[in-house]
Amino acid sequence: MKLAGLHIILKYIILLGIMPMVFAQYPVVNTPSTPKTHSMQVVTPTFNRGTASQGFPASKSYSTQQQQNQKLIDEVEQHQKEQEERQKRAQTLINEAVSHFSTPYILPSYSNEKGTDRYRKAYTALGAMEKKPFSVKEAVFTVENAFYEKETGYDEFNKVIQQTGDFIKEKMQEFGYDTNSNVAKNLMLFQFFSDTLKTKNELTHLPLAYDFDDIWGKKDWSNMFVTKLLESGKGQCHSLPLLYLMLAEEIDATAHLSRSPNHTYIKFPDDNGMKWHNVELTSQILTTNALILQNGYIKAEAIQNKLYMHPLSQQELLSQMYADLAMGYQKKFGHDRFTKEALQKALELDTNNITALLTQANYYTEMVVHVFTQLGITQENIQQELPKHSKALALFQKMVHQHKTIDAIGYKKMPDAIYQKWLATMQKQKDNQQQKAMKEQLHKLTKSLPKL
Amino acid sequence: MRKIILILLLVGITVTAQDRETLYKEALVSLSEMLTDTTKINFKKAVLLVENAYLHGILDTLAFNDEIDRLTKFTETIYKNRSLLYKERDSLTVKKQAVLFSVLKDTIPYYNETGKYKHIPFTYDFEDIWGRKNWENMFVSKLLQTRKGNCHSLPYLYKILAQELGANAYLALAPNHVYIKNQNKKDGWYNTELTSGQFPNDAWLMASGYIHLDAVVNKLYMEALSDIQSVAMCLIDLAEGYNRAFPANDGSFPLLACEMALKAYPHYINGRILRAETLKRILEQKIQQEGGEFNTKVRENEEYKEAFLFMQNEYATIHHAGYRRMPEKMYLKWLSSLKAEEEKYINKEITNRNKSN
Repeated sequence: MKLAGLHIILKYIILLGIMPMVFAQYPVVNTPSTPKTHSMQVVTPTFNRGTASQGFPASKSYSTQQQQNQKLIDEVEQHQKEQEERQKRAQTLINEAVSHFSTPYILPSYSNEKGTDRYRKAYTALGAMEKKPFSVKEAVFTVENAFYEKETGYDEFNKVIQQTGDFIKEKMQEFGYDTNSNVAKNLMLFQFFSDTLKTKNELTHLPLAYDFDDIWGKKDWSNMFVTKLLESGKGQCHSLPLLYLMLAEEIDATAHLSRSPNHTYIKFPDDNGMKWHNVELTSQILTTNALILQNGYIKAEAIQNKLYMHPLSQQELLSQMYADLAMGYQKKFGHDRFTKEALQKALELDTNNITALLTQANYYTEMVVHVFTQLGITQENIQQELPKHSKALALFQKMVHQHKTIDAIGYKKMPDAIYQKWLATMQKQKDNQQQKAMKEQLHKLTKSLPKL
Repeated sequence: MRKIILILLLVGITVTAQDRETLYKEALVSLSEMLTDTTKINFKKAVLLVENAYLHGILDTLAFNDEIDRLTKFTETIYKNRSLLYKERDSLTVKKQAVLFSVLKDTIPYYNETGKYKHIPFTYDFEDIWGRKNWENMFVSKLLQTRKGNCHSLPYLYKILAQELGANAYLALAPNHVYIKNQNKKDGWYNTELTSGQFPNDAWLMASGYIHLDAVVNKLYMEALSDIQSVAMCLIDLAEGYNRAFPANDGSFPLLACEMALKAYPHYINGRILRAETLKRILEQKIQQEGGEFNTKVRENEEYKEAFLFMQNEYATIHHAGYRRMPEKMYLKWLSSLKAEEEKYINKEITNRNKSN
């Protein structure tokens, strides 16, 4: 009994995002095992953060010591970075050398690097989910765990989600929502993400915040992950909707992932299946289609081809998981046969998965650059040289074709700055009249009708 | 030589001019031939047939063709003397589009043997925008005569001129509205709005709240229409003109035109609506002739019941596909929103690129 109580407290602490590091024994809370490593195991780094920061006497005045520490840490980091760069260059050279002996038409493979086996395992695991209805929780965990290179941890991850689901169910009862209504379930989920709620033992659950830092996962790809969201209570347009889907699964609510340029959000149907509602989790608002369209980068063709604003089916969601897997691999290692295969799989499941299409186009671009370098084709001599190499020409045409296809189905690149501006306009919607009216309307739908 | 043929054609038409009904039937046959035999597709001819039938065959085809020729030659001249900021590989096609837009919407000074002149652009006619008072207000021939047109005649003229120039141009629909879609290498699909002479982005059409998202998904609107689809539109124009020419008709002609048009362009929303309305009218007429109350008759007579259910189903499908009626006031407000919210809805890339050096 006592133990269960402790678990519940722990779980709120996690979701509240209060200093998760304190509870290091709680595996999900634990920091992932250094996902940053561009691990080239050729040379062992001379320094690492741990030894450097420990080696200082505690006698000096705090601020000077801190400054010194910082300086040293910076130096060490600088050094580390250079080291990594060197390693990467060395590896590239080795790879190039190796591939030169075989054929210039294959990208250097990373398959012998530490950690890639995790990705292959994850790929197989996703494959097993194709045949039957799969659990979003399991799929997302599989993809993220491949990046973290951890053996275990699913049980804990699962537990956190389950317990959060229970909490949401309790709250529904408490608020007197109709527990059979899909609108009610989704409204409760929305409240979980956007409102401050009290737990039974008077703990406070805070809304899940938007993390403005590193929204594209450029510094650290794991910033896109649900695991990171659970640890910090902060997420972005990738992790927040995925957590929503996991929790929806937990409480038997129907909700779908939906894409817009550089973005994902939630769509759920009302109880008559007549109308779709949109939930925007980054700014915690209910959105209208008009608001989404106002970003100006959604073409009619993109809607007609279901690139955007279309509720993803199970199969299309799984396609997204494969694309996420490929992108994680690419960020960690780079493009090679693995990404190609994973993306092909993604597109098999959803031909218009724009994330997969774009990543695939990148793959081919990288491939062409690689092949051209190998063959010594440059901008100056391309007219004469390219026709001599029929295979390179075919590859080049394939790349052009990829980009053309993407344009033809209505894709238009939305610049980052404009995306952020658009997110800001969404933030402004919070608490305006329309929001209130929309919430009120949902509230009305959640109460079961009085029996006549 | 060409002129002689045209004169002969004109004579041929005037001979049959007395019988409007025959003209309509002939036009229907010609248009349906275009739909079955793509080598016969000619948008200009299709438009002429539709307008001429309504005008009792007295449309001055010669003058119409002369004016189209003159505009085409004028456009070609400007095309030769202009260079664009746009520098992609398809810049020549893009230039055609840009010049054509200029000819329709810009004031252009020019010189010829007799002196200096000004080319006056075509403007939007706010009078009777949907041809309710006078159906001729929808016509390209009216636009050519008065230099004023609407969202029907302006894009039609654009398409006709594009065809003459050998350039691509696609008609596209919005509620009660037609505009132009084009494609270039750099921006993909983009829109040309001739009523206000601007290049709005798709958000203007979708986010201004006048088009249901489902209507876009189901391609009721905002689809770049092929030549076949454009001719199918002419068929519906023909049927609508017929209804105005013969208000008391029994519905068989418009129904036939609808069936033909929908065979080529099954999701054409105006065709779907006209067919449903025609079916309704036919049913009402039948019951009225027999005498009796509509509601009771529909319930008692199996045949009527079936027709009624089919019609009802049609209306439901149309609604479900995302169609909503748009009143005239709302439409005008929407058109003007492009001016009012330029910042949000104008495709700046195209607007800038279409400028010449």
